[in-house]
Amino acid sequence: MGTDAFERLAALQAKAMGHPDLPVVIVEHPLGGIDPDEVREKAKVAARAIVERFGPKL
Amino acid sequence: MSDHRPSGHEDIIELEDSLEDIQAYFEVRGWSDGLPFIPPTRERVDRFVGHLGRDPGEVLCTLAPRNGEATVERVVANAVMAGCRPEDLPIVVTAVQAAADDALNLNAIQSTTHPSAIMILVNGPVADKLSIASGPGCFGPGWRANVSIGRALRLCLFNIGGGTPGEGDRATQGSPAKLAFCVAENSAESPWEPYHVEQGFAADDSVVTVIACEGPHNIQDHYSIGGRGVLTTVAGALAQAGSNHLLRNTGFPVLAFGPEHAHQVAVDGYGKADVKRFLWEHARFPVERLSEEWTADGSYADRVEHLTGQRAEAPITQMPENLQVIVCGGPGKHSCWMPTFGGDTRPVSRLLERG
Repeated sequence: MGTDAFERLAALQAKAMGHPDLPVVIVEHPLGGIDPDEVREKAKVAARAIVERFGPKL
Repeated sequence: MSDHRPSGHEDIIELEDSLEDIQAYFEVRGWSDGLPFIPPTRERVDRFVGHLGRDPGEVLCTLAPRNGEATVERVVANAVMAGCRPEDLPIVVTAVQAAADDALNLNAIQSTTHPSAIMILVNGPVADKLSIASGPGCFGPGWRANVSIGRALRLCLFNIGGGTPGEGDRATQGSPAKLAFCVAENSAESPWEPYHVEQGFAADDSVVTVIACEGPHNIQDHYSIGGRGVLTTVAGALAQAGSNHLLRNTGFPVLAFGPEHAHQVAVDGYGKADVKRFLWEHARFPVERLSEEWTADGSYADRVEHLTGQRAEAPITQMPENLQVIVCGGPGKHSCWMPTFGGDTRPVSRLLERG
């Protein structure tokens, strides 16, 4: 997972490593320098996205 | 720009024989570092490959984050663009291969938000042979070999590795050190064993070392007379808030003594190991001056205590030996240090020529 500011980099690296279709969970930038409550909110967003994407397969 | 295409070579691009048009064609595609370059024509690249005497299709390594294949021909084309001379090519090839070593962690170095450049340090007879500057103003500007060899590595990281700004290179601000960063150690004026000898090479071996670090940060001390005074000033500079070395108290930062400072220190009996020990013990940052959000849960001080036996002052590396000490420059009371990306990268030294 990563922040939206680095989405293109994630895609580049996934492709370079042979996994162009690797699902990437994106949250709003930034992750550093923010209040812990904001981090928790972003974690919830990420968790929901992960469950939506992978839940049925787990 | 080109004439023919021998089998097995890269695609040839046909352009008008106009320097301006060629620059513009490359620039719009992100194939240059922003400076004008020497067009890598078929004739030039073939001539340089011939001088190197290697198969143009040989894959030397892959370069992250794109994991592009660094073939001999591609590396040579970038060295041509950078303004290298044919005799510079072995250093460029060795530096590119060293940069791909897992220990350097190129994927992180290229894509980090930290302004990590890659310094090429040259030791041994090849430095004089190729006129790689180690004396006055050695970090530049003004030295063709330093600038073109350093630039050649950067262009390879751009064009083969995909480390272009905002894409594979996600540095928040970047650094002018990313344009070209190559220096030779001034072994002739160093009171200590050269860097490559410390790494286990013979003094007459020629060795190329790559270190992922920031550009030089000056340390002046005109007032100290003895070695302890100089080292105290240096220690104060190394204990810098905001360097990656304070993040987890790890890494291999580089300290480049100017020859005059080095002699002041050495004449007072400090060998390199003594210098590293002194600096590790004195280059400490007060934990209470770090931001509260960073230190409130006590885990930072726990680590400091684990490393040093006390909780009040943070070291910049795990142990004294992790400080990298070189000597370069000319007359004057200046030294410098280069913080690195931190603990997730290590210097990589490669033999260029056996002495």
